[in-house]
Amino acid sequence: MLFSSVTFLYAFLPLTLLCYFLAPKGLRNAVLLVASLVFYAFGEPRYVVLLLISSVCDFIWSLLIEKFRDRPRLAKGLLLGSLAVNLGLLGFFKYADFLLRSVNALLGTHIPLLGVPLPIGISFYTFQTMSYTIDVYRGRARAQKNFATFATFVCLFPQLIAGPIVRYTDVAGELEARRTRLEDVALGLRRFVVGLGKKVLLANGMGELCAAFRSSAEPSTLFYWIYAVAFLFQIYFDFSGYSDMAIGLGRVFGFHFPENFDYPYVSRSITEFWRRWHMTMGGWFRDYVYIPLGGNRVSKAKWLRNLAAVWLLTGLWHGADWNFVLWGVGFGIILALEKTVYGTFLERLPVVLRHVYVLLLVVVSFVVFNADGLSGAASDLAGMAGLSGLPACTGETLYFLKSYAVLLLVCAFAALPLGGRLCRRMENAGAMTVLEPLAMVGLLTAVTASLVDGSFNPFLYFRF
Amino acid sequence: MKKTKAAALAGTVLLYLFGLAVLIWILPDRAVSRAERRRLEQRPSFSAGSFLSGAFAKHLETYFLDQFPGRDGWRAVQARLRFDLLRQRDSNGVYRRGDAVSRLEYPLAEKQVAHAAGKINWVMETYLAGSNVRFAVIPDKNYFMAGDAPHLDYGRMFALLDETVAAPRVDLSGCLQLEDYYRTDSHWRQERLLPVAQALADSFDLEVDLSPETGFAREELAPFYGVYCGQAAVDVEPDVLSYLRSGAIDVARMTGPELEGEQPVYTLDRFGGMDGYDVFCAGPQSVLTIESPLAKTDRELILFRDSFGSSLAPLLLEGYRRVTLVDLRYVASGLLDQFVDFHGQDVLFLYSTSLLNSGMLLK
Repeated sequence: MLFSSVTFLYAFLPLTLLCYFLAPKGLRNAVLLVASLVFYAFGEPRYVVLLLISSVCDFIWSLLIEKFRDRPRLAKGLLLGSLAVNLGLLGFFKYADFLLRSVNALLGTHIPLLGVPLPIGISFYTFQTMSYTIDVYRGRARAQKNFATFATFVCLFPQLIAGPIVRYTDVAGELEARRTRLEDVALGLRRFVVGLGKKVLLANGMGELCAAFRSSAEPSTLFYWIYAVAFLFQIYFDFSGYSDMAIGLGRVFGFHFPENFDYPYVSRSITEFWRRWHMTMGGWFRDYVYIPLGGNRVSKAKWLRNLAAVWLLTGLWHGADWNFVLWGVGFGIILALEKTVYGTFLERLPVVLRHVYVLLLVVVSFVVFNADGLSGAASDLAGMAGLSGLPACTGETLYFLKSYAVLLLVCAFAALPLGGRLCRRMENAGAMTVLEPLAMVGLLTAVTASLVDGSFNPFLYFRF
Repeated sequence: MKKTKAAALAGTVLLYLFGLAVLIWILPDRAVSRAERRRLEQRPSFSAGSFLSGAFAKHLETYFLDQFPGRDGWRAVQARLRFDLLRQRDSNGVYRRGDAVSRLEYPLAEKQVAHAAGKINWVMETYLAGSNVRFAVIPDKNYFMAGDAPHLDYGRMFALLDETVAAPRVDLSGCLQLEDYYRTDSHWRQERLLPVAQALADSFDLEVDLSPETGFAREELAPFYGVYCGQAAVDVEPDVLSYLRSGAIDVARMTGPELEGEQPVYTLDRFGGMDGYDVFCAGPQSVLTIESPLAKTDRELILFRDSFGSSLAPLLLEGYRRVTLVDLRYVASGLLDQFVDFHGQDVLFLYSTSLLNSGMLLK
């Protein structure tokens, strides 16, 4: 089920809120668990079993790890077993066909593909369950004794299918006992509605522009660039909008999920960009891959190896195709260069140039990211570089540029922290008691109108 | 956050969500949307099978969208947001020029056009030996209206057709202008088609005078909500649908496998249906035969057509004793000889650019 669907907004959510707040405190996790399973089943009825298997496995592995903590080799074996199961499931469902395609391409074989549909959100919940088991092994978390409580953590619908990647330690206390305060409900709902607006009004609008480009009858170099910028906005508002909705809903139910985005497009280096973009994933790879490999406190060669491992995995996490590998490895190389070659030089550049540097690289990187494989990426980049023999501009390009000019400007403004700062400054003004609820009504009306009109409504991060 | 503000904020959002949720459940379901000219999804029945296959979730979302309280109003809000606030040129592909509305249609689908041309050639080779065959293309409304909006490459389409269709083409583009089309619909206006009908009659050397002075009377039906009224979801004044009467047209009678008995060429009872344009020759029909006892000649015409042909055919009854209308979207070309007796009649293939760009619809 999509957050940005009428079924969710006007059936599932009101019903869940009603059941949750009417239920005695002791039953609230159960309400959330049942609601989460229904939520998941609406999108992936058959894969609910997989979600439960993943939960049961990590619940048991962690109990065993805690039980045999005084026998380190056995505990380590149990941890490796847990990781094998998790990565095995992820590998099978997400990467098996990629592997087979690559083998076929490399060896000229014709091994049939499995064609297994990707379970929604498997990358997110697998990372969450793995982090839990690893944290139990490391002694940073106590194994949860109550399966319903643990399953609630894994299946919690606000963050189940597109993050943020919530670690068990982030919400362990709140899973056991949490208070529901009016302020949390209000702030949570506000965050949810803002996220919904970002997703439906901005990301979907940009998605339409990208779709118009893809079905263009008269592509041009300028249209390639417009597409690249539109996708830059689409992916940001899609994903950060979803994160806002998840964080907001979590807060309504008394959870405090970690932040996932911090205006990444204002970054002045790629290093900074990755501190602001998909922060929970970056943090996960840092804590569970990079640092265990030695981080940067090793020889330069090993550090480069660690960096390569993290960014190769980052690329693969986002998708099972070579363009994702290129995307991840490309960022790894840029980060290594920033740290070793031109980082100091970059810091001396005028701020404007640093912004241009980041935005250019990010625009190009997302074109690779959104391409149809490596050949698609090459074709798109050639189009942007004017190497496809296309005209610089066509009438069709101008039509879409004019048609989406206002929305592009709105997106550019919304991607800056300016609006957020302004809102925070006015937060305590008396008029906001009336204006904020009115703004919420306006946003909900625009969102509902867009949904009822049946506009373009994909969720990009579902595929991860 | 102050308690009053928190209460106002949470209360407003919850009231909005719960209020609409309640309305969805208590308001009665509608069967059809006249504005959108379609049947609306009804509440899906739940079964384990439909749930596990994902069909239930899909139908439930469609049901909620279709039956959403005040659906047309929400669509109007969305159109206003797009046109007035975001200054977009179109809303879901529907655009306006002055008070006329149309839908973007592009790019040119050469394979579809080639398929249509191939189908026409096949019909000619199979059934039409010895017939006097003409071919005409009706430019769609965008031909006159699109301006800088993306549109079909009409020149390329005409060139493709001229290269492949083995029949002479009658050029109609000079007989038409934007005003010859309804403002709110894709179709042309019958009362302005006499020059087109004359050009086609002339191409067959049919001796008939179709000038307005020759005694056509005009009748009007209103309001006519064209197909784009609903799709645009913004306030557009409805059209007036006019039809032309004459002695020949009034006494002409049509029959067909999908019609009950003989009927006049204007089926006025269909004006109140989903598509008011069905007034002309009973709307979508596979094969229709119209007898015109007052025709000025004994010649016969077979008209291969889409919906545009429905409003043109009555005008040709002045000259042809019998006009047979064939819509290859609804009858397979291989079965035609079961419905039509081919014996050297005049034959006209009359298709709009829209249909030709979806030429694979021709069976």
